[in-house]
Amino acid sequence: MEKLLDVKGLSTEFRTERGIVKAVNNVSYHVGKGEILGIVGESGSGKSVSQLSLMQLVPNPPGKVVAGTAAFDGVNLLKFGRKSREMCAIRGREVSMIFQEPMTSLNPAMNIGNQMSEVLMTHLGIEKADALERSADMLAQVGIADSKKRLADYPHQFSGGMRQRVMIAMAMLCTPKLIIADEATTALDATIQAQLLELLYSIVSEHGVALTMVTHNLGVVARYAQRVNVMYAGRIVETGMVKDIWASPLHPYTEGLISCVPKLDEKLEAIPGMPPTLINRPPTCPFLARCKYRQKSCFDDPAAELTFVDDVHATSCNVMLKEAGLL
Amino acid sequence: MAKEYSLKNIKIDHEYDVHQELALPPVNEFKRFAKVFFRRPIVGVGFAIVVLLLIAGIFADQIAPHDPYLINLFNTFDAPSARYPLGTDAIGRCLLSRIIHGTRLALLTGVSTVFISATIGITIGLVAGFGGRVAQEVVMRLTDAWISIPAIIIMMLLGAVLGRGIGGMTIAIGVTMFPAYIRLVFGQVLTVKQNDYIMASMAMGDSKVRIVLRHVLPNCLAPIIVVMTMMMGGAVMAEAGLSFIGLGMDPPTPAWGTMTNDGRQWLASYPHLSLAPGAAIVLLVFGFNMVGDGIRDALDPKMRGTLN
Amino acid sequence: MSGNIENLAAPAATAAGKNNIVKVDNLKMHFPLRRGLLQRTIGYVKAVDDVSFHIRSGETFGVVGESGCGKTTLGRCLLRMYEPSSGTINFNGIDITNESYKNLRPIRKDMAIIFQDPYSSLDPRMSSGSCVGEPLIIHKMTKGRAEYKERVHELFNICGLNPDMTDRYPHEFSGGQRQRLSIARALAGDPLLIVCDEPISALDVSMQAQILNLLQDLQAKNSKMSYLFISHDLLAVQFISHRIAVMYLGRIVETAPSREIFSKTLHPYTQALLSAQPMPDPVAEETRQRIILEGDIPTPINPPPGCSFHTRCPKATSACSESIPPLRDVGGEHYVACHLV
Repeated sequence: MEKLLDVKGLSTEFRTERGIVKAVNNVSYHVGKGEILGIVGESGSGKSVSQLSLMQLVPNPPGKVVAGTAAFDGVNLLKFGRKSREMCAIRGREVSMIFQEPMTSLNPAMNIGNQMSEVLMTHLGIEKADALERSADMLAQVGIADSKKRLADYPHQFSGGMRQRVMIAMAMLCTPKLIIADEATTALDATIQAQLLELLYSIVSEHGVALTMVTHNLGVVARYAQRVNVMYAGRIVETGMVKDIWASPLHPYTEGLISCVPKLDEKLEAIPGMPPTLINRPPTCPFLARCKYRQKSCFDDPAAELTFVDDVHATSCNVMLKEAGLL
Repeated sequence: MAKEYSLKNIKIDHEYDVHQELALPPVNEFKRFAKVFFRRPIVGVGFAIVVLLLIAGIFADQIAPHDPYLINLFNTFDAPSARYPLGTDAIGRCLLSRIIHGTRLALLTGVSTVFISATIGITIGLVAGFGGRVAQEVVMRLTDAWISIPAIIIMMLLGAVLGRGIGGMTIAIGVTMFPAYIRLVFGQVLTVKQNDYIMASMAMGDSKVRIVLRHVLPNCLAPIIVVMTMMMGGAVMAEAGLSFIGLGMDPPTPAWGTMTNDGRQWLASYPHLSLAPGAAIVLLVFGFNMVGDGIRDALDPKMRGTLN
Repeated sequence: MSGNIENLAAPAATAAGKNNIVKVDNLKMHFPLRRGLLQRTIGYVKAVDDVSFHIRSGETFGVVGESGCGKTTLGRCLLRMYEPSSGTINFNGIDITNESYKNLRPIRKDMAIIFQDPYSSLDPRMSSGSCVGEPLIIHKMTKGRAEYKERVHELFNICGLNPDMTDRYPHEFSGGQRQRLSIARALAGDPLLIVCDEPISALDVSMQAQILNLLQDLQAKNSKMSYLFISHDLLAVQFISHRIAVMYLGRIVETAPSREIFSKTLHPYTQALLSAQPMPDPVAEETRQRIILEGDIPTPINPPPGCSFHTRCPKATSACSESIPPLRDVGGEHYVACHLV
């Protein structure tokens, strides 16, 4: 598959009172054209920050992208300034983001029609009347009834689910090449979440848009994503095809994550302990304290780099890589 | 193929079985507070002023070069000199000594008025905030009515009724200032009440009085402390104002407001007689406001970094 | 409390013969909506509308539903945090429906609550040890400082917390640990009922599993302790509950033993809810068909007439908008409120 986005060695740090937090630590991955990639991890795993880093949306200070490249269609996004014209042209036009809380992305004092048409006018330079018409079309496509009339409504006049539909419509306005959905449906009720996910899935498949789904919900990844990155403590610990990983996880954390989701008629196997702090971490594997497979050497060796065991499946588990003769 | 590899093939070495990690490392709250508090240099200046004033007030007898009441008619309107650093007033008393002794009175009125108004205001605010809908409405509307009467009128009225002297003046100022606390505490209680730990206490069967004293009040305290600090300045201003219009302290007592007023007659020829005590008032108000500002910053959860 | 010891020690599966710790009949909780200067009542939010159920001693009763379905209100009514509009609540043989706050205080030793938000459920100005020990002090359950301390240490140990940390403040704990503190506090009074109001929703996946296991272990150790487990997460509810009630707009639409709710789903809403839950299994997901409901959840202020689900129900007929379907017994402790079943 042709690579749309190719991230290499991305690292992002935050300065805090207690020290430097390595929120994203040497992350490399790619998204193919029209592919759906899941990024799973728990809070603090760096899954959201890595995406914000690509788009140069990490609040600075305290955050800073300290290393890495992110080639989007062959152009390194990280070489542009945060507020440069190039970056602004890419955000919303080539890459769109959908966040968990739509109210933070929508302007409460501006009606939906104006907000949507503004996107079209700035990015595509089309006339206001045309822009409004296209906005109404887009709203109709995401299942908002009476879309022409609703252009005059303000964000608070929409319900939570409807607002997220508006966000999807806005993200799709300029037919971007990549949509990053950052916990886009997490705050919604189960039945509404299902509506939205099906909608998002059908709309990106129809237009051939690549989608990065950042989520903590393994069920969402299992249903919609083709490939998945599992993140832990700022690093990608495993990546591969969703089905392969479920059939045979190659990192103890992935295995633990899968087994700790309650399933019908099965005993629950929890991962003991809690996620590590990201300040002043020793170079050893961050999962060491919670890992049931750890060996004596794990306490001495530095954490392994993400290493591919075949074309798509990679792990960063020292024990596993030694077993496979790759370390 | 990936199928060859599997975690299932790995032997679990029980010697290195998992252990639970401990909680986050402890944080030195005091250090953190001090760091944020002194982040702005101007707060440091304010803090230094407050400390100096406190020292001056407490050790006035030792610090003041002369007796503040000692009249020396041979030395009236002396210019500042080595003997009288700020000169003397119309009846030859040492101006600096009077200002230093005035500090004591200013701080005393400040502390006692703040104490009186805070006690009344916090009590009513807590009752209103934790009481029913009717209690809330009644208290808040009465507070609105009270605030709508100009403070100076209430103060003058009470001042006239209670008579001159520190007791009457403190009560007059304290009573005028307490509605501000009611509003603040009321708002705070409404916020704190939303927290689940309050409902948890109710579900545990705790008495309402204990809930208010043990959970609600401590969690309302931070902004109250800020306002109390800021009100110190306000109380001293009010005291000065009352003294200035002649409702404050009796003449020989070294009160900054009275001194400013007395100096007014000679403003053209000896301006420092008014300006020096006036400057003392300004310094004190500034100092306490800055300290209040610093405390507010230090208690602001947004400044807590990774803590919350 | 009646009931003999042998019975109480029986495994949960045979819970059917046990006493009810909670019996709720026709409970309604309608909150008045007030507007304007005179605070006139302009309508009611029917948060809980005619709900009846019971919880047996040692049983976990799961309540599942989406936001606005009244599950949280139901739990709080049970603890008498609110004054119910009508109906009766019987707790451990005592009718607590109209009991005053003062009279309820001793009864509250036997009930406790665990909240969703681990950050607002512990008083930030109290040390973790004092938070946990509060019920001991309120109900004067320990004699002297030493016994109190020992009991708090014991509670820390039971909940998988390090007893050396009793002097630490809640903000020094992680979300999962704070939830453990909440559980320890709930256990302090040695309660007969713990209302768990979305206790795992705010936690990370790996922490959720730990808390679910902890709750289950605690019940295994103390077989007379019941849970009312409220959640929007069907998988978690079915994992921990013996029986489940599904709520929609203030009413129970279906209630059944946990296993049966999945194997013999009858109500169209339960079916949709089950189908909306993404299952963490890519192979099964490939073939699974989903029922996608149309539209939004109506507000409980003016719920639709008849069956409140008929506006979104894929199977609705004209009868559904006319009368409210009653909960009907379909055998085996399975009840469903649908005209079509």
